[in-house]
Amino acid sequence: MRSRKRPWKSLLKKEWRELTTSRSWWIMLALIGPLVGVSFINAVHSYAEASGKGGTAAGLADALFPLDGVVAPSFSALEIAASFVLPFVAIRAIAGDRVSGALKLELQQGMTPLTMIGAKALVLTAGWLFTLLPIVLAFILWLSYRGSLYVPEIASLALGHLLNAGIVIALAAAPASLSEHPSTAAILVLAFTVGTWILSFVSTFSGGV
Amino acid sequence: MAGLEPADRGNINFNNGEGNGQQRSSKLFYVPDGVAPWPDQPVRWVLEHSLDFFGGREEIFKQVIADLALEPLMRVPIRALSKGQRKRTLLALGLLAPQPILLIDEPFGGLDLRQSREAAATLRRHITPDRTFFLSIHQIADAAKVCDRFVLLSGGRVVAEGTLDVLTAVARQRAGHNLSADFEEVFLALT
Repeated sequence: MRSRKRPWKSLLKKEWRELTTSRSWWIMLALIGPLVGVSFINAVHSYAEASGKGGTAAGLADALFPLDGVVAPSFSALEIAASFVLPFVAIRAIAGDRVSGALKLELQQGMTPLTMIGAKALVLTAGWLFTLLPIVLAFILWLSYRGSLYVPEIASLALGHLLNAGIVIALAAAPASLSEHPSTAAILVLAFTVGTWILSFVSTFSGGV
Repeated sequence: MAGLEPADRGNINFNNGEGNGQQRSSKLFYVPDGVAPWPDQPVRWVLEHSLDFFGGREEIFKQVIADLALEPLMRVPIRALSKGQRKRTLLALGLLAPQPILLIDEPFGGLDLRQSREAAATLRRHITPDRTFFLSIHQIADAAKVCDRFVLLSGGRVVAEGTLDVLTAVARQRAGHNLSADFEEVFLALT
C-alpha cells in the first residue's frame, strides 16, 4: 500500500496537470502573447514620438520615463487577460472537479476543503506567472533598443498585477463554489469585472460616480 | 454514510465504536455512480493518481487492471470512455482504495451481461477477511449474483435483512409457501 503521508504533494501535482492540460489555460497563454506584443509595439511608437524625435512640446521628453511610456502600457495587457480570460481558467479549475464528480472522491481523502481550495489557488497563481513570459520578452527587446529599466519599479508593477490576479481568482472561486453550473459563475464574475471597469471609467471621466 | 453530505441523523459504528469523520474516511471509501472524475486525464493517470492520493493498494494494481480488462484503455481519457468502460474504471478505483469498507453505488450500471458477470466475479475475488463491500443495487437479479447478505430498502426504510435463505423464509411466511426461491419474487413479497 502506498503511503498517505504527503497527499498534498499529490494534490498539487494533480492540480498542476489539470491546469496544464486545460484548453482555457492554453488559450489564455495564446492570447496574452499578441496582447502584450500589440501593447508593447504601440507603447514604443508613442514613446519614440513623444520623446522628441517627432517634434513635441518642450519639456515633454524630459518628463517621460520608461515606466509610464513602455513598462506600464505593456503590463496593461495583463489587466485585460485578468478580467476577461483568467476568471474562466479559475472557474474551470474550481468547478471542474465538482461537475465531473471528482470532488466526491477527493473529499474522502480527509483533507480539509481549505487545503484543497488553497492548492487550487496556489496552482492558478503559478499558472498566471507564465503570462509574465511575454512581458519579459518585451523588456528584453526594450533593452536591445538601448532603453532603460528600473527593476524595483517592474517588480512593484508585477506584484500589483499578481495581487490583481489573486483577487480575480478569489472572485471566481466564490461563485464557482456556490453556483450549480460553471456558466452561472462565469456570468457573475464577468458582470462584476465589467461593472468595476465601468465604475472606473465613469469615475475617471466625470470626476466621480 | 460516505460523509459527503452533512449527516442529519443516525451514527456509524466501527467495531462497536462510534466513528467520527476522520475514522470514517480511513475505514470507508465510496464509489459514486454516474461520475467521470478528471475527464481530460487518461485511465492510467487516474488510477495512479488515486494510488498516490489515497495511499492505495499498489500490490493489486496489475491484478485489478487485468481483472477489469482495462489494459487497452489505459491511454484513453476518461471523457472518451463508454458508460461501461467508465464504470469498470470506477470499480478499479474503488478496489485500489486502501479502506477496508468499500461502498459502491450501482456497480453494474452500464455493463452488459458478460461484463456484469465478470465484474461480479472480480468483486468476489477481491473480498478478503479484512475487506467488506457494500453494494447499492437496483437490479435485484444482479444483487443475487454477487452478495452474501442483503438489506432490502423500501421508501427509505429497511424492510428486511439477511441471507437469501433467510429472506426467502421470511417472504414465504408472509406470502405463502408457494413463493419461488427467485430473489425478485422474494423482494416483491417483502417490499
